[in-house]
Amino acid sequence: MRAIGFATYKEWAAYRSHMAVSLLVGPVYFLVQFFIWSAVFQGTTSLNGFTLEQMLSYFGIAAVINYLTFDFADWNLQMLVRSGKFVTFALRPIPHWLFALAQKLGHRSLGFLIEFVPVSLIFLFIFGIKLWPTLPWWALLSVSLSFLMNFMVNYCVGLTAFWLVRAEGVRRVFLLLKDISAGLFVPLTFFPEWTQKALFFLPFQFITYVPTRVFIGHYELAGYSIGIPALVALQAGATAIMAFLMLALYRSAMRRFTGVGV
Amino acid sequence: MIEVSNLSKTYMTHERGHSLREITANLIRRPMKEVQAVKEISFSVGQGEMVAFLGPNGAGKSTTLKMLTGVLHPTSGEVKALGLTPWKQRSEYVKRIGAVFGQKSQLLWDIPPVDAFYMNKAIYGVPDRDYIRTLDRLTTLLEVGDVMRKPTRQLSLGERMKCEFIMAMLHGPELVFLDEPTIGLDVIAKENVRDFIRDMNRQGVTFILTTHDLDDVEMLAERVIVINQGEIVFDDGLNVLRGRLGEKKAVRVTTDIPLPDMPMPGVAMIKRIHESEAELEIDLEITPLKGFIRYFNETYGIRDMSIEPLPIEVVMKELYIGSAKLP
Amino acid sequence: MKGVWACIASVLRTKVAEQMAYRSHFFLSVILLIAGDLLVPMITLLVYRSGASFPGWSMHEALLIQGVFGLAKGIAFPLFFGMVSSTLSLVREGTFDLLLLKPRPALFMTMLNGLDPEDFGRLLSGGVLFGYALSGLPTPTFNGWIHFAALFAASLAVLCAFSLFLSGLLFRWVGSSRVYDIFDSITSFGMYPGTIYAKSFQQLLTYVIPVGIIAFVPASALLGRTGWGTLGAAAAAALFIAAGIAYWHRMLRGYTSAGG
Repeated sequence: MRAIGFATYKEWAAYRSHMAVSLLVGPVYFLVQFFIWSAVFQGTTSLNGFTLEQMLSYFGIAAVINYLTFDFADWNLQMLVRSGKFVTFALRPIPHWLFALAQKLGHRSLGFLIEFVPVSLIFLFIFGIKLWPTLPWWALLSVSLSFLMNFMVNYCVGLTAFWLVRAEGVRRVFLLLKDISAGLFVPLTFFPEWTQKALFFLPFQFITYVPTRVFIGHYELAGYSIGIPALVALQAGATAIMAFLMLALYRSAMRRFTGVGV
Repeated sequence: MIEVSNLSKTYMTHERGHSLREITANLIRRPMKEVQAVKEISFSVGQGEMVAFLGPNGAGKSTTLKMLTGVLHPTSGEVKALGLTPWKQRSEYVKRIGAVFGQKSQLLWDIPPVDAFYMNKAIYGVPDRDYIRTLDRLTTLLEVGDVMRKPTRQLSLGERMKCEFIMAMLHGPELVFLDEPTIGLDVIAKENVRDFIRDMNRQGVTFILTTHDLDDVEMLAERVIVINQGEIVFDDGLNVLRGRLGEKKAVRVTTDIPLPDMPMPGVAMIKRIHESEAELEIDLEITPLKGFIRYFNETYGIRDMSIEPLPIEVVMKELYIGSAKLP
Repeated sequence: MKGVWACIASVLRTKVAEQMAYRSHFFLSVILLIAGDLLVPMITLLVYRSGASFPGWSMHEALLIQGVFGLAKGIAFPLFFGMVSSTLSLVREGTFDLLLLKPRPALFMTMLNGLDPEDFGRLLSGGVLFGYALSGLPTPTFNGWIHFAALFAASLAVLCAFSLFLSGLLFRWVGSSRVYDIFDSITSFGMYPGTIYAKSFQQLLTYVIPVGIIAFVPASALLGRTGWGTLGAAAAAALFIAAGIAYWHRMLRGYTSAGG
């Protein structure tokens, strides 16, 4: 596990310039958000439960959390399946999902150094975003759970490649919907009431919206207001259910792989 | 047709460290190293020749070819090909040359080759009449009339290679570069491709062939240029190359009586297969063939025997290792 | 010139044939492109629905900018932007040389190789948005339309120049798909009313990195908000594309003299 993570870390270190692009992209997106919301808040002090300051914190925090939990397990897996390289993993003694998780750990440790730390510093000192969580331990736990959740959702999307060989399009649409429902582009309270209700019961909010809210120290969606410890407990429950789903899907994918020989 | 004089190419590459300290230092300043890929080479190729351009991996072969096709600018030196300087008059030049790469397909995977041909017609600006005539002639010659209307992904490698050739020949090039044209092909497909190359050559097309398949060289080329470590180490006829082997024959023989390690003077044991079966090399200057057969039959009793000229592989190995530079 | 059009037509024909081999995939990709392009308008809609606004801009006016952005992409992407992905993959695989073996200018060959009819799908989302925005606005004047047409051409030039910069960058920076992120992030400034930015920043976005010209400037012209003075922006676009062409060729020269 550690060895795989470390190998991935070294492998990607060669492409650190690719990752370092985030140093440009992250602040640029934030600058756009900064201008947009500064303009929008000129006519009002509170919008869907956010003040301007909270709004900017939301985007700043969501962006840096995203560096910690970023994932492309789906892409990796579907590529392995389509090119037929998956067979080399079927021959290894550990299940592929564990391998992929280790890879993600390695990849994100590098992301921590190259993306998270410098971009956080930029947000902290240049934009003056308050990045220290109100409840540090709960926030850490919440981010870890979101790390797993993001991985598992993406991994499940990747697993569909065993049934749908040429369906990258579907997968990409799904992932775009995932990002929207996770609250990456706009806080979920901006959506119409009934959408919020639906989103509350979907796992996606636990990827971005929930950890960001835990950071801020205040949660609200679809009219529900939940305390932080209860929220994180809810998140843990959702993560466990997702893990169960992923393992079930993985098992049936393996049955299909050995049976049909995709 | 091609005149190359004092052509050189020097690259600057980063020197990469291995230890952690070196890698850290490299983040700040990376030391540069000069690599001379091609060193002052000169040669010329005449109209209608078929030249094999050989060399081990990393010898400067593909660098030279890139300069000859106008893709790469040399550091110094001159090339005049078809009366043009390839990298300076690129558009004009490449219109008159063709290229086939065994490992880089120019066809499009999901659509029939004939559509890719049509696209090339537009890019090369081939007039309709010439296009139809050439395509007709080539498809008959290569027997791909039906094949080229199927999507490329459904074709066998051999069929695909034939279509690659059509793609490269449609605009009637005078000079064609072939890079590993038979790689991965089965015996019959190889033969088809070689026959086609010979046919085209007879019609006056000049070919420059690079390959690691020495059968290609023996069956196609009249002249061989070998490049090693950026320098030309051999440039002469194929028969001269064969001559370097000396008057030697390779023999495989099975006998009644077990063979000793030194069966007779002037005969060397190359590989023992069995106690009474072996591959031998005969130096005809010491032991004429007649004497060899008589002596062997009387002493060991020949049961089966085949005689072949030594493969040019033997000389190539010597040239590639490079210590023995030939006069 | 006739030859050039023949090339474009024949390559487009082949590419369409190629994509028709995977029809369902093709339609899905188009749907995805449209969905992706409608993301920012969706957020704009959510903001206006919440009772907030960009000061001085009605919702239809704001959406008009995003519609123009979609239209500009719908033309520039299938024609020019594919250059980026073709340099990305060809340089990485070492097959860019094959393009140099064709008797046409290298830039033209790269563009041909990158033609992507799929991206015309963006015209649909851009067009719908544009139409919807206009339906909620007073009819533009004839003068406004002329003005818009000229600036729309400038917008295409800016997008083409961006393609050249990114494509050129990939000769050196082999295989980095992050260039798309760079493009998306920088051009996202151009999707909103320019007036939300600080004055000096507006100047920067019009004359230095002219992302404002992609949609904001032409849309303002159509709304009759600006005079002929904005044609200065067109000059900036012309300069930008000239710089793009020069940069691309410089990087190509670097590639052909370094080789690898």
